[in-house]
Amino acid sequence: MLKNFSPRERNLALALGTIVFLVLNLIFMPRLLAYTREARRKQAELQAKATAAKSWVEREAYWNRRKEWIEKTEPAAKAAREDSARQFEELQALARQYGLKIADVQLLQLDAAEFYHPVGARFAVSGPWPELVKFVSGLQNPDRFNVIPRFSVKSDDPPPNVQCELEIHHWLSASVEGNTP
Amino acid sequence: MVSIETGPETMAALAGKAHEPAKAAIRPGSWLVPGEQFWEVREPKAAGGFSLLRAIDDAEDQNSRNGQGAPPPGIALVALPEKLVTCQLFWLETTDEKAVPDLLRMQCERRALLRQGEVWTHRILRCVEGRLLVQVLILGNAVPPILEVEGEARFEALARCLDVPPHSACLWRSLGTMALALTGEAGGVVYFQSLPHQALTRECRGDVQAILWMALAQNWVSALESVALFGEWRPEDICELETLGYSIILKKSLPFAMPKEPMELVPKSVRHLRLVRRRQQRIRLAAWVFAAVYIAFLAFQIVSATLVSISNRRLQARLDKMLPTVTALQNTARRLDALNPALDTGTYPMEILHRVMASLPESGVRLTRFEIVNDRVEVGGEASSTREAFDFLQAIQSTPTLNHIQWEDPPQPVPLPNDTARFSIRGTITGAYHHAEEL
Repeated sequence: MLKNFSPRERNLALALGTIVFLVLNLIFMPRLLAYTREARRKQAELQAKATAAKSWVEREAYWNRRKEWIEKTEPAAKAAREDSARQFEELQALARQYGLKIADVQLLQLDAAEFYHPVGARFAVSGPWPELVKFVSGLQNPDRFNVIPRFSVKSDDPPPNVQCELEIHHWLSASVEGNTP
Repeated sequence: MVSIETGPETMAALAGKAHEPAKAAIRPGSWLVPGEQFWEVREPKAAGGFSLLRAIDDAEDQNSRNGQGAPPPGIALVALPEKLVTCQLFWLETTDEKAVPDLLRMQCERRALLRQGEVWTHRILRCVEGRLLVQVLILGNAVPPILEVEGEARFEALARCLDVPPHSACLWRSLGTMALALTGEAGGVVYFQSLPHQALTRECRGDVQAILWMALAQNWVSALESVALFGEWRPEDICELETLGYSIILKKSLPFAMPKEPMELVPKSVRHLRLVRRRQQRIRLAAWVFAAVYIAFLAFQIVSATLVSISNRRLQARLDKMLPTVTALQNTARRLDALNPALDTGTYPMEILHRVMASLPESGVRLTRFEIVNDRVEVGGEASSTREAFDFLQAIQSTPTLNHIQWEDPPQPVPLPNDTARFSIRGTITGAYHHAEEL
């Protein structure tokens, strides 16, 4: 078609075509490049997520064993609440069994957390150090779900007597309340 | 001598083919030669000789080509008529061939034979007694548009493209005028000239005779034996020439033959056209390369974006499939993390106290205070000397079993009046879970 044009018409047509080409490039090329760049960024992000997810899935058995153990071992909230007073009596009986004196008993009202409902008490206990060690050691074990957030020991007269102030929380399963994680 | 088409065929071609469309099939290898009246396109025949493909009337050609007078395509050789090419012969007093071009240029300029921009070339014809006879061909600047062949055509003087007998004077008609060529010993054309005559008149005969005398006098040719006439001639023309005293040879058509040595006489306008064409080709090539690179880049971007999008969709689908499992596992991990203070024996106060006491020396240091509030640990005690207190603090900080506690720099032990020292150290329990996996 250009062959039928005069040189002036041909030059004008070429100039017009060049301008249209440049304008189209200015409009669409940045968009295309941005789209490609965004797609690549998203790809890297998804690949990282996929790698992380894969590592989680590869250890599925590991995490499931722990979940089963927790669900089997964690004390149920409802039953524990009903027996909380009795359990504290048992704790006092245990202290007496070791020849320790319990004083300043204070039952705590604790807020529920996402994964557990804590019930707890704060008290002071005094007596010989070896017996106190046995008493406190017996309180905590992974399958008892007891936490001692506050523990203070001071030497007392006569040695080896000590004074101990402690706060013990018993973590109960939150699943009964309907907020199972 | 090669026989080619005769005059009647040429006339038939003029009558029948001259008005055919310009895009007649002209194969590469055709010659564009000046005929008696019109330009002719001729093609070598396999059996020898040349066949006439087309005769081109300038007016017809200009009409068919939008007045531009462009040459037909496929031309391999252009035979330039004698009225466009001037032939000059020089005797040069030298045998140094390298000096010939400079000497010729000086001779031509002195005689005002060479004008600005004119194309010229030369050929050494022979060497006699320390002198060189040199033929100079000068092509004028003005050439008709039909000769502006842009392709790789070879430009030669028509007289050099003829197979003519030795020691003869040849006469033929070329584009309405007459032409004369003189041949030497080997049949090569020594000199040619266009004659300003339409017919072989008495004046024309006189001019021919003058040229022949000058050629013999200047020793351009050693001898002349015959006069060869090419084309259709009247009996009175032949009688007129017989008065010159040479034998007459008649041939009905020009015996075309490719000259052995090329002698390029490319017109200036054709050189310019070729230059423009080469520049256009370079621009076109650059445009094509740019277009190819641009399209390749665009295609790469589009294909790349498409592939990445497809890959993203697949990855997203895979993630969506794994999401419930992963979420459940992460919740389990978060749950274990939250339950860590109850499960990780390393964070039990009695366990930490036990590990602290394991660092106690056999004597000289005793603990007086041990306190844990949430994740803050504080240990206090007395030592029999500041040194022992310091050593004990160092021992606590370097105990591997207490590496999950970030100890703060302890204050200097405080010396007491009874030569003992009081010390204390604080730390924060960090590093959840390092015991959880041992469950």
